[in-house]
Amino acid sequence: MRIVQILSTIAFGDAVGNHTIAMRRLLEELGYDTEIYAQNIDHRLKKGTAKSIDHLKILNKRDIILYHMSMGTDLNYSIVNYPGRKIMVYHNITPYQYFYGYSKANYDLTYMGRDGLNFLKGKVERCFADSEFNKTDLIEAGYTCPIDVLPIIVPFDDYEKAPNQRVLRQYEDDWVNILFVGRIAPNKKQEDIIRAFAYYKAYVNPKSRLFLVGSYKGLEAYYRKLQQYVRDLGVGDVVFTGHTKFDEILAYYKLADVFLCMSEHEGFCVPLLEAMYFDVPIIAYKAAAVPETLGGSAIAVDDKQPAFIAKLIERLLNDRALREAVVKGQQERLKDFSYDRTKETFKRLISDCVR
Amino acid sequence: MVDIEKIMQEIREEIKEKGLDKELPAFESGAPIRCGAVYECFDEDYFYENVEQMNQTCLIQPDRPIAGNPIAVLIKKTIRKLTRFYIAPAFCDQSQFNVAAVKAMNSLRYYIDEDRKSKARIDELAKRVEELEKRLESRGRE
Repeated sequence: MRIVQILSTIAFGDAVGNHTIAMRRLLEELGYDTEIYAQNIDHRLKKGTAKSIDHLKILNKRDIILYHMSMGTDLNYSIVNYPGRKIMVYHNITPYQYFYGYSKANYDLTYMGRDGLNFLKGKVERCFADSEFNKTDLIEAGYTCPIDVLPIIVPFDDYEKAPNQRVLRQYEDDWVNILFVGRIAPNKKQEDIIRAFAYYKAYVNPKSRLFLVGSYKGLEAYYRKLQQYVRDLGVGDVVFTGHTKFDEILAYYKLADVFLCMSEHEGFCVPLLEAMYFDVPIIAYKAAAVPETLGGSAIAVDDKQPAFIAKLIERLLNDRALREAVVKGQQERLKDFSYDRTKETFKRLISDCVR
Repeated sequence: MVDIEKIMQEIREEIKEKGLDKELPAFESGAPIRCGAVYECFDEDYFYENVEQMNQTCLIQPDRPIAGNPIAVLIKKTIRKLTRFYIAPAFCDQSQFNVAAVKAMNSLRYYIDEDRKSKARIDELAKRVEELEKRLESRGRE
């Protein structure tokens, strides 16, 4: 029996790609004959990480297909034609409304993703959802098959690599660094981060800067609008890094004093775990899967008022007891997502499927 | 034991008491955005800028100044000579296409200019008609 993972695009360094690769490693450890097949393979991935779907060998009825679902693609429809038992690994689909007026391509991809999700209803025997939030999304979409929660597997060992020295040298000073990591996208609400930072810099601490780490590829219109907003607010020291290398991301985490997330739609939000790993205290807006990933740790807010967020940052930085309590809470929460724990969950779920 | 909820409440009260909340420009109120590669709106200035750039850069040349140490320059020049038979016609085709695209865009620019003139003339005539109607109306009353 083979277990193959199929996805539309396997990208270098993104959560879904890393999760897929980690799952393959675990399947190999469990002794399964396994491969990853994708339509688009990022050339930066190690050779042999994934194969083109055109090279997928004939499957038999007992083989298992783990199909990663996160966007609109023709695979959402053609996947049902492959023989084998189908399990959907659901990473959520950003509501298409967020992209209206910014990117027709993203709008279409997410719109078609929802259509694909509806199409696959009743055609997969089981689902693995990254979070309870994603599980609820599937139930609301009408999925009645068994749905288990399998958190994203984060290879924390990678975070021990050396951070980029150039970035460290450039920003290592006594300034307060506020960080958000995630692609520049309307659902992530970078404008709310900028607004809160504008208040913080103007009325609380002028020696501060904001790092918005993430690619804006495909969402240039939104990126330009954010840049315009920075000019409208007259706020300086807002750094849009664009696409960054992994060691540069590590450097930004090392430099960060606070991780500020105002996102309104996340199926899991891996950067929250990354911030936890680097002991960066988090202030995050309670939306979508964010409160679940935080699991009661960090500071979850239901208010985006700039003065409130700015004062909260000030308090978090100046109140040592608060800062220590937040970081300690995050460290405890991070244990729930340790590689070993997620590995055990995965093993159990796969054993159930194989049985 | 740190009570985060209590701290947040204290901050809210402080903001209320001291009137710390400030009016900041809303995100939506930003000036019109230049759409770049993604076209979701018509930005006239941007259009004219792009057409101007197209006019200036439509003819492309395969030869670029070669820099580097003497050995690198020699190697690059050799490669350039060896690949010229393939590269030069491709550049020529691309230039022809660019010229056609620029001509089409210039026509569109002309059309927009003419359209603007026509609209101005229509507005002028509409005002004139309105004036004449008012005059007729007042004469009728007399």
